[in-house]
Amino acid sequence: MMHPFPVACAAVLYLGLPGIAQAQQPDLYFQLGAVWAAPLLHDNIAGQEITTQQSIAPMVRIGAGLPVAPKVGAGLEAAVAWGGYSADYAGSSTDLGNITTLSFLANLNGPIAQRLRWRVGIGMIGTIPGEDAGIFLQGGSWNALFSAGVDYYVPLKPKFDLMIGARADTHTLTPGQTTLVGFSGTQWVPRVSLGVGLSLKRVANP
Amino acid sequence: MTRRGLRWALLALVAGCGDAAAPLRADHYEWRLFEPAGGGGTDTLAFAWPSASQPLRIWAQDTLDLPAHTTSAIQMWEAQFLYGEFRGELVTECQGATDVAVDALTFLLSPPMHIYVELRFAEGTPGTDSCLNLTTAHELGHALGIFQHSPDPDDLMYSDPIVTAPSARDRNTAERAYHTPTTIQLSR
Repeated sequence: MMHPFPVACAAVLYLGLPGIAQAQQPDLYFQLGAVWAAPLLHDNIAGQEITTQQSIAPMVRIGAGLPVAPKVGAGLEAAVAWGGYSADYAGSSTDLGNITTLSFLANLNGPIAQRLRWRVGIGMIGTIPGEDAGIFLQGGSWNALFSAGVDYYVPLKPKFDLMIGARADTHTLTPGQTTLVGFSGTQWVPRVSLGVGLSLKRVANP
Repeated sequence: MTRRGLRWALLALVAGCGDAAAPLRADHYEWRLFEPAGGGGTDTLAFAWPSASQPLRIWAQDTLDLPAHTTSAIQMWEAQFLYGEFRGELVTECQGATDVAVDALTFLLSPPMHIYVELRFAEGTPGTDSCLNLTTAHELGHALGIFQHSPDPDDLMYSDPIVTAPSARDRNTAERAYHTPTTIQLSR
C-alpha cells in the first residue's frame, strides 16, 4: 500500500503546479539525469563477502515552489529513477532484477552566489523492486530521505534557464526480509545524483 | 554555514553511512557428504548449482499432481536465498534424461539429477497431497546440494520430514552450501 506522504506530495505538486506557474517568482523545473547509490546491503555467509548494489539509474526530477522570505524559497521535489540491482560475490555478479525509486522532498532553497542556489530537503523514498524476491521478498518499503544540493542556472531563453542540479542524499533501507533472517541495525544508503534540465526563469535570477 | 551547522551536517553524514549488521547464521547442520577415499583419507562432497545453470530447468512427471508440488517446492527454496543463488523453473519437456552419476575419481555430476517420489500408500489416502508436497520439497533440497539429513525433526531436511517448509536452520544451511567452495563440478 502506498505511503500517505508521497500521495500527499504528488497531490500537492499536481494541484499546485498551475498556481505556482502563475506566481510572481515561481520555482518550477524539470531535469533528466542519473543517480548513483552506495550498496544496499553488505552480507557475509561462511566467510564470503556479498554486496548488493544498485546500478547507476536514469532519473527524472521535477520540482515546484514559491518564495517564503526575501532570500528563502520553499518547494516540493519529486524524482523517479529506474535501475537494476545485483549481488556481487566470489568474483561474479548475479542480476537480481530491477528497482524503481520514487522520492518526494519538501525543501528550502536560497541563493549562494550569482546563478547558484542551495537546496536542502527532507522527505521519503520508496524502494520498489520489480519482483518480490530475495532481500525484497516482503516487498519494497518507504523510508525517510535527507537531501542537500545545489542548482546552477544558465540563461537560455527569455522564459527558461538551463538548470544543472546536483544532490547528495541518504536514506534508511531495511527490507522486511532482511529483518526476518536476522539482520540488525539500520542500513543507510547514501546517493549522489546529477540532473540537467529546464527551469522557468526566476525574476530574481540574474 | 556556521560551525554549529557544520557540526550537525557532519553528524548527519556519519549517521547516514552506517551498515546493518549481517546475521551470523551459526545455527546450521552438516550438508556435505564425507566419503572414504583411496589411501585412507576422506573426500568431502560439496555441490551447489553454479550461477551459469540458473534458473534450473526442472521437469516433473505429470502424475500425482507432481508438477504443482514441484512448483511449490521451487518457490519454497527460492525464498530461502537472498541473492538469487537458486532459481528454478518447471519445464514441460524432459530432455536428455540421465541418472545422477557422481564419479568417485573426478567428482563430475552428470545432469539431469533425478528425484524419485514413490507413493507407499493408496492414492487418495487423507494427507497424501501434503505428504507429496513436503517430500518433493525435501528431495529438491537434496538436489540443490544438501546431501545430508538434518538431525532435527523441526527441519524440512530431517530424514523423515514432518514440517511443511524449510526452517531457519534449513535456510542457513542452504545459504552456506551456496557460499562454500564446491568439490563436485558439472560434467557439461
